[in-house]
Amino acid sequence: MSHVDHDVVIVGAGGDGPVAAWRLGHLGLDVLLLEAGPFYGNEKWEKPTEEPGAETSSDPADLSGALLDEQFTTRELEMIFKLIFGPADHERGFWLRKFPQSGITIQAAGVGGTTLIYTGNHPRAYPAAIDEQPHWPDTFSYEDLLPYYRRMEDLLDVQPAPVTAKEELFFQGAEAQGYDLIDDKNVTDVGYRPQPNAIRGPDEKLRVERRGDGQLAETYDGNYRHPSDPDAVDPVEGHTLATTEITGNPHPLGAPYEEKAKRTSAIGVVPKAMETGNVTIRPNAFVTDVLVDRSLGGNPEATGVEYRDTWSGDKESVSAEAVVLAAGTIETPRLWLNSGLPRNDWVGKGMTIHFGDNVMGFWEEDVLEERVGKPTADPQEGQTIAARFDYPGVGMLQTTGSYAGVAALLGFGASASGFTFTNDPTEAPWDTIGRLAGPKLKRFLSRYREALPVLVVTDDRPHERNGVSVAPGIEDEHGPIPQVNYVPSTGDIQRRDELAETATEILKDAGADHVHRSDSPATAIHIHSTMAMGKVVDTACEAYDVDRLFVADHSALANGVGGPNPTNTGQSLALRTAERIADRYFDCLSDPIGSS
Amino acid sequence: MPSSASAADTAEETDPTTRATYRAVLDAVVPATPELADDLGPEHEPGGLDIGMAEYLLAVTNSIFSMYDAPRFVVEATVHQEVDVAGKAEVKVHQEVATEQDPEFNARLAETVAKICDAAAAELLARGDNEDQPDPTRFDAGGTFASLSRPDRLRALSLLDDREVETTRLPGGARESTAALVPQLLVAFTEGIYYSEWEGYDDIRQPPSEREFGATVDGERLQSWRQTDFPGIIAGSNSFRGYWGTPDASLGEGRIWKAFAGDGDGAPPRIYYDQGEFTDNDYDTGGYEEPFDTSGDPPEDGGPVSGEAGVKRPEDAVEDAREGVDDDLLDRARTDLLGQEVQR
Ligand SMILES: Cc1cc2nc3c(=O)[nH]c(=O)nc-3n(C[C@H](O)[C@H](O)[C@H](O)COP(=O)(O)OP(=O)(O)OC[C@H]3O[C@@H](n4cnc5c(N)ncnc54)[C@H](O)[C@@H]3O)c2cc1C
Repeated sequence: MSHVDHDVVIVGAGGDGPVAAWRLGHLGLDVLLLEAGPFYGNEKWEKPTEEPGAETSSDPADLSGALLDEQFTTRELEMIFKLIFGPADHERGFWLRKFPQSGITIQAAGVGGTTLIYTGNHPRAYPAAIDEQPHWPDTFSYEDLLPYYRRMEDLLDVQPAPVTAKEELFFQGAEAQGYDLIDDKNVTDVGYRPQPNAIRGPDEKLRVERRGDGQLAETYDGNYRHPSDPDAVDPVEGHTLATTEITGNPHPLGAPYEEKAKRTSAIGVVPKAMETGNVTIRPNAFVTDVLVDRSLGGNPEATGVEYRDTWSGDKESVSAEAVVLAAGTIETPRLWLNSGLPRNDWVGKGMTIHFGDNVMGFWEEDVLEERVGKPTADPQEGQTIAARFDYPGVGMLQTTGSYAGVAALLGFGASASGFTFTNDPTEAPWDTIGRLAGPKLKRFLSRYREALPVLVVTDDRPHERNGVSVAPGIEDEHGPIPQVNYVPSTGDIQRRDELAETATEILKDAGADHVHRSDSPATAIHIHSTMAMGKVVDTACEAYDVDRLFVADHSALANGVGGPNPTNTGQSLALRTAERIADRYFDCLSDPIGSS
Repeated sequence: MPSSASAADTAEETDPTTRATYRAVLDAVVPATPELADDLGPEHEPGGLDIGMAEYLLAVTNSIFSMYDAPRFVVEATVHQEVDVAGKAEVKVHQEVATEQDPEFNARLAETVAKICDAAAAELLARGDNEDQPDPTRFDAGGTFASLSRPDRLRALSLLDDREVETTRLPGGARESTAALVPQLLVAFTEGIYYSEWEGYDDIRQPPSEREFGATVDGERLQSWRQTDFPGIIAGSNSFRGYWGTPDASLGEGRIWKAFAGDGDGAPPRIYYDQGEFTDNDYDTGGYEEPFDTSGDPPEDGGPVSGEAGVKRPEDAVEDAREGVDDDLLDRARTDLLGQEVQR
């Protein structure tokens, strides 16, 4: 066993871990960032899913846009298998989680974590979800987050998303329903707005010309590559308007690593962390144990972690002055439970998943022609998710572009209410509900380009019964596997139904002639509150029961932030936590972003 | 990708009945549809079997979950051909530990999944809920499931949704809650893969850096892409209109690309050339109200995703899993099917 000392070791280089690493490194602390998955777009791992490659990287010069272009092909099937939470080795399947109801959790592994497949939507929490709902400690408020939100939004270039045909269609429907445009960042009212996205806007060259008679002309004739690419024809910067967010979006091709349009934490944060000169990233390292010193009386103190190399199986341990858990909302509690840390009844409990659903509209070509000037809605064009509907107290809706495979999967593949033929929706606002297969499926998919899916995202509330535990006796190479349990409450179901109805009305008012509701089984893409502030960690996100052990991922959020996409809040809180760590244990907090 | 060479090898070792079941699933979920060809055009006729996707579905099932330190094993998957009227499929499990130990391996689930399908088919027939006569000649070496007509195959899967299939006599006693996952996975995966780029790979089992991919096969665009009119993997699109805004809002600025009448109370919206920005507004949450129930209780009937796990704290669910025979595929694959503990 080798022994290395660091000021801080962070477990997980996903959405939030790198944010903490960046700030701590910036404050002069020596940080080791351990990541279970591979490092894409890094010259030290030319074939990150085929061979072990190097051990660590700490030099931003290792980052390579060209390698990322090669590895992130944006082919749906290939990228889903590549990125979903599992070992780097392409010959091995996903790491198993148990979900006794027919639900699934969707997370990714690799430097960047689930932001590698996220759609870049960066709204803030609803203020009321923090200040009025009962889940957050009284000593913490939305206002505490504001300076950190501002810093993260600035770092990640968060900006209003552009309009293509599919957004225009949705906005028309929302207007026709009588809703108003919201231009606020701190949202307290019902209404619709463009998504605030951590994605750079499209190049002016990609603009569709609208002639005086309303006729549209698409005149761009280049190859969508970046100016720094010698093969670029009519080069462009920013988002190229292919809906490839879920499949890794490395566009524009030919761009240097840091100039990719979608600001995943790998693109937008990791280079900044490396530039501090104090952060070392160690991919392919799955942490299996948090080491503590129990000799001090009182709380045990975290002293380091043990991890396993996912290629060689070798184990190593590292020691540090402080340990930060940022392994995501499933693995962070699992790690706590498998490390035999003190019992706290809320570890793993109170999980919220934004209890989602999918509602899809279909249009006749002539209706589209009249509304958006062409016979298709084209879900393959634009930013993947660029339009939203806010409904504080209930949740939100967002349009969802995608390629055809993901559209089939999301819209028709799974349902909690069985096949369409087992359901009778005559009384319901939607025209069909359930899973589709057979000739009907093919008929619907033949209208893929005339369809627009809307994702229902529910403000589900933390309930103690829901969450993560470990299943003793059911182990993989990293110990007992996580078991996930989710049963929504009456209120959660009512909120989801309300949103599905609102989505249906908007789509119908946008001219859709058929609306299909999936009634999805519990599909956890936004996951939070499994190590909640006020329950497991204090307002600095340090564990109540273990000193020098912090949580800096979405587990620490005390609820589902009201329904808005959670990453802006998770990252902003992680940024704040880094400052609290520096202040509490290292006495090196200079130029604080927020007050303590 | 978990379509590893090893998984592919074992897929080839899979018994003919299991393979027939996978063909039958694919054929029901994405069938050939001459009736659509009349309506929508000839490209809409072929289905999943026409592009040979069944073996891949099987290989994916066998490599979707990683399993560490597992012995290689093969399960003979013969379901007793005579389905007895009580609807209980007789299952013979045959164990064979292979000579080779592979330290990195994936859980082999195809046989179990196929047997669950057969049990569902047997149940459908026992209830007399089938609309068509079963025909054992539909698929070579097909079992009960494969003998059903296409709509009846979907009906059989839907019995699994309702957890109405007696599966306790299946290997490891595959219980209802696991069985309910089968239609979700089989249908969702089949659809997701069919409508993806799958057909375009020369050999998807190659390592990613050596995989050859093309958007055409024999000079024609991929079958599912022709059927969806999906233009293929694109690097970008010339589809930018502008930014949504109103004259009153901070969003949207500059020239107007398109103006709307607008039905909201606010100013009529427009698509502007320039972005504008969001406002970092003052906010007041004083008026916040909860429109819906906040008690946290699930509905009396358990609600849409309760299933038999019901309302439980995570520990209870774990207890349940431990006592409850199986409902875990990995555990079952390891111990129950093999009847042996894995040595580590
Ligand atoms: C398809 C999809 C689209 C989404 N779109 C959006 C969106 O538009 N906006 C938004 O706000 N959110 C979105 N989300 C959710 C968002 O991606 C997550 O909320 C966010 O990434 C969570 O950050 P995290 O740091 O908590 O966890 P993660 O990003 O999941 O990071 C955890 C990291 O820890 C690593 N890890 C796990 N266990 C260990 C271990 N034991 N040792 C070492 N490393 C470990 C993992 O490999 C991973 O890299 C989306 C999610 C999905 C699935």
